[in-house]
Amino acid sequence: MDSSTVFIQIGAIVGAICTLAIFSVLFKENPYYRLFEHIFIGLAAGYGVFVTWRDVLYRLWWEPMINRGQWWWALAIAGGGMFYFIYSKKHQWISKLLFGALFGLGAGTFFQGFANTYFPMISASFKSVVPPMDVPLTDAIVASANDLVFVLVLITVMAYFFFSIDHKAKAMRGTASLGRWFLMFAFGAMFGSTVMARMSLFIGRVDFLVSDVPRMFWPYAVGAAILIGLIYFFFVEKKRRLNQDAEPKTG
Amino acid sequence: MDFLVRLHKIDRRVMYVVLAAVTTTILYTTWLRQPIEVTPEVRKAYQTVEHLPKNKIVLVSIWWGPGTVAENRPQMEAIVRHCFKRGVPVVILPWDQVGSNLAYNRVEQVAKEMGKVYGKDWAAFGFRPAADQAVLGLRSDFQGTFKRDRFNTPLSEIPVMKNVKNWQQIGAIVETTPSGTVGLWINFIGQPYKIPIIYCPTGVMVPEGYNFLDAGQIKGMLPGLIGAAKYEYILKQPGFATRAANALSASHVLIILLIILGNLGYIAAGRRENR
Amino acid sequence: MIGITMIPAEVFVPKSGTMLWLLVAAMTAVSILFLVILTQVPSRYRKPMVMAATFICGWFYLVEFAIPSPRDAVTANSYLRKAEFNLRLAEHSITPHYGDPRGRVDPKINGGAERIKKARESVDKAHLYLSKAAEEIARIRVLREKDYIRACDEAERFKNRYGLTEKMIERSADDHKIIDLRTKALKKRVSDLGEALSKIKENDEAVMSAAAGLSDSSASKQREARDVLSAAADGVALIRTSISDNFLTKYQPPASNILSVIYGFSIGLGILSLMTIHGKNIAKARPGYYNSIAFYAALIIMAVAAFLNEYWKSAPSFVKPMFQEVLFNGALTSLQATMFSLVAFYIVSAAYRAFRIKSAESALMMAAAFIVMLGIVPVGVAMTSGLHGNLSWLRLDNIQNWIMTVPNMAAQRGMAFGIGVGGLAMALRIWLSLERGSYFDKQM
Repeated sequence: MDSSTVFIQIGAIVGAICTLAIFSVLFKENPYYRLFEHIFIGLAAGYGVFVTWRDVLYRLWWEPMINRGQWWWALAIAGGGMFYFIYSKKHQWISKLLFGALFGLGAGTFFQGFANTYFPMISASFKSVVPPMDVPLTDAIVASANDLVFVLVLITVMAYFFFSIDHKAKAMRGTASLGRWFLMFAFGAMFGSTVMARMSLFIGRVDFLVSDVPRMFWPYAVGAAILIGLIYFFFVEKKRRLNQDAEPKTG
Repeated sequence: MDFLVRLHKIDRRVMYVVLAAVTTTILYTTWLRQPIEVTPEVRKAYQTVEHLPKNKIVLVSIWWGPGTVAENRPQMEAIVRHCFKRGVPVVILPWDQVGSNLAYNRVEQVAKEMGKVYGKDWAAFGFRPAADQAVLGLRSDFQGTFKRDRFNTPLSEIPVMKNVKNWQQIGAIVETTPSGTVGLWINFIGQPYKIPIIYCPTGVMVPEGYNFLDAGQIKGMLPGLIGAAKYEYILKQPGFATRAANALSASHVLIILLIILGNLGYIAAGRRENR
Repeated sequence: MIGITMIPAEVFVPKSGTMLWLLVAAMTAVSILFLVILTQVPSRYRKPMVMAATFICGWFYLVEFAIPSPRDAVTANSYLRKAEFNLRLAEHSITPHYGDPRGRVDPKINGGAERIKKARESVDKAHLYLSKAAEEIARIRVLREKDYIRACDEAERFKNRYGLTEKMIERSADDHKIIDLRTKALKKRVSDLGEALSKIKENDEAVMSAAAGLSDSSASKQREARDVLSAAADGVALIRTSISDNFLTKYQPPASNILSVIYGFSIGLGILSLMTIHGKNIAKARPGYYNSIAFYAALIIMAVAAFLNEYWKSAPSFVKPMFQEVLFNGALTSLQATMFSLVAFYIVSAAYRAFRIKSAESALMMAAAFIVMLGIVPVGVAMTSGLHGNLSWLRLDNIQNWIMTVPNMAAQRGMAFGIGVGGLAMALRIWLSLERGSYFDKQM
């Protein structure tokens, strides 16, 4: 067995330990979950620092500045430094200057995007509810019915969401109420899709635990889990109950 | 009646164990595999890739990370396999720090399997923040915006990238994302330059995707893990998604059963209180 | 005239390493001085400065989008726009309604002959406009070529005046040779116009061949004609875009790079906050402080391992697999993936406890959810796979597909319009600094 295979197996075992430690919160909140949660934050932060340096700061700033003689990139320190004034109570406004500029740029791109996103949707919303003449009758009726449903749902849902128009008028109330009914289709679809998404993530983890983790790990893992569980219940829980009993009873 | 009332008080840990047991068992039970039906949006995605020109690149945009790797990675893998099979060059463009490495590793594995060479048949970039501005920049000057690849090699020295100057050399965009970021590509590249976009969202964003599909802003969609399974089915290359499809079925049936049981118990408890 | 004249920055490329470091140090000092000056700004100017920065930065992308095409291409653009419109009209005229199984517009059925005649007329108009656009673009190309030759002569005189060496020209910003920005822009303009001209000719030929196909009423010929017309219309739209870049477009790539670098500097914000919180936990020995020690350990180990893996060229053989397999794939990826997969369990218990049918609306929502959940997975397909022919619409996967593509899609579009209008209003408010919040209510 070569060293890379050994490390792949060690990595899988480490992954299994991490996975089981996080899953332990499903049973009960426990210190092992908290420990691994903090380890995760640390790992993510450390990796984030590395990737930001390698792919962004080194490649786009340091290398052009030092290796290719583009000394003017040093002025970026002014822009980047403005972020850190957020920690100063007196000069916090300097960070707001930068955030304002970035928000302004974002707003500018939004206007550009708005036309390209919504204008095609508006034109696609004009569907013909009149059955076409040059197709078989069944197809014409089905197509026409689908378009009618589309137009009805769209108008009633928009009526529901346009809060600037008062819903007190009877016609508006009825339309908005119908819109709420039609929204149930969308919410049902969203719920079903969300369930599918989350289950998929869990299935991914199951696949990792069963396929990628070496089989020999499991007997040790079960033994260790029992041991850890015993330690937790007999020592940690016992200590907690002792502390509870020691507290003076009121009343 | 007591039994029905108890139905809506099942301990959550029992449910978790049942979910884990059912999912694990079905995932590895091959004789229970059910047929996969390919839906129109997946077929349109396949047709789009099938008709892509071979002298233009396919940009695979990576927004996902380890959190949604189980859904987005099979989608990316299925489409990259199809592109490699057709000889269409692939370029990986990551916007997530960890996802950048995950996507690169998987595409490298697939490329090795299919005999594709980095630099000649595919390329990858490193993580990049400020996606809006990067996309606006790359459409008019790709090489000016992304000067070097993931390994710090100038784009002019990479055969697959050296002739990519702007939007005119982009054949399609494949957006694999756990959030609503497809609007970025639609706004700045898909709509103005009529470049086809294939949307690969996680399940949470699937209902929204039909809106873009109807308006013609995306050419096809792979809805979550099941979309990846359908694409693998058309490609005749089953992978993780195909295996997971049946486990997904089992978990959905379980949730439906639990909801029904919960409601039965709730109704029974309500009747008992009224008596 | 397209392009601008400026002294190329390559004139100031330092000749030695020491000079470079001095310049970098000087610019760093300037940056720090700028920040110090900002701290001295009186409080009555702060809010106006923030508002001005927001407003001015918003203009960059807005103007780039809104600015009309270069004046020399206005006429050509208008011809191309009309040609595109007519091509799309022709395509629409011969598109059968609602996926007619026969796949064609039949001249013998009511309205079919009229539609084919309309398509022919639109194609003829498109051909006329494309010819006019080609003439116009050829004319402006000749003018731009003359400008380019003049600009090259000026650039040569400029090089001689500043004594630019070839090495200075080589060490330029973007790994390309830059002599003069205006010369480059003009060269690109001439090339773009030439390309546009050849593409117009290509599209025109394709359109004329499609026109010939219109007289054949077979499904395959009509489909072919439709594809050609659609591709030609897209092609014409792209030609318009390719000759419509304005003077701000070329600043987008450098703007993107500058913004990426500035965003890159912000990584320190998150790291500093985390280190402060966990540092305080350790310093004050709060309950659970050992978790904060674990955080620090993980942060340092991961950062060090990642940097060693990347930059230590003569590292021992275990460094790479240790980082990649153990820390990255084993620990980081597993932890993050598991955090997200916890939600699967929470959804199960939440659905069980909270999803109660208390009204007709919730019953409808639940029915839709059940159909979508079953129809999307193989078990739903298998459950109703026996339904064929006239009953096939009752299949779960067909009902699920109908729910997703008709009522759900319509509701999503209604919501999208509401969100879009709200987003536009919010973007305007942010841009014009009308948004009330912590930025503008408190004294700065």
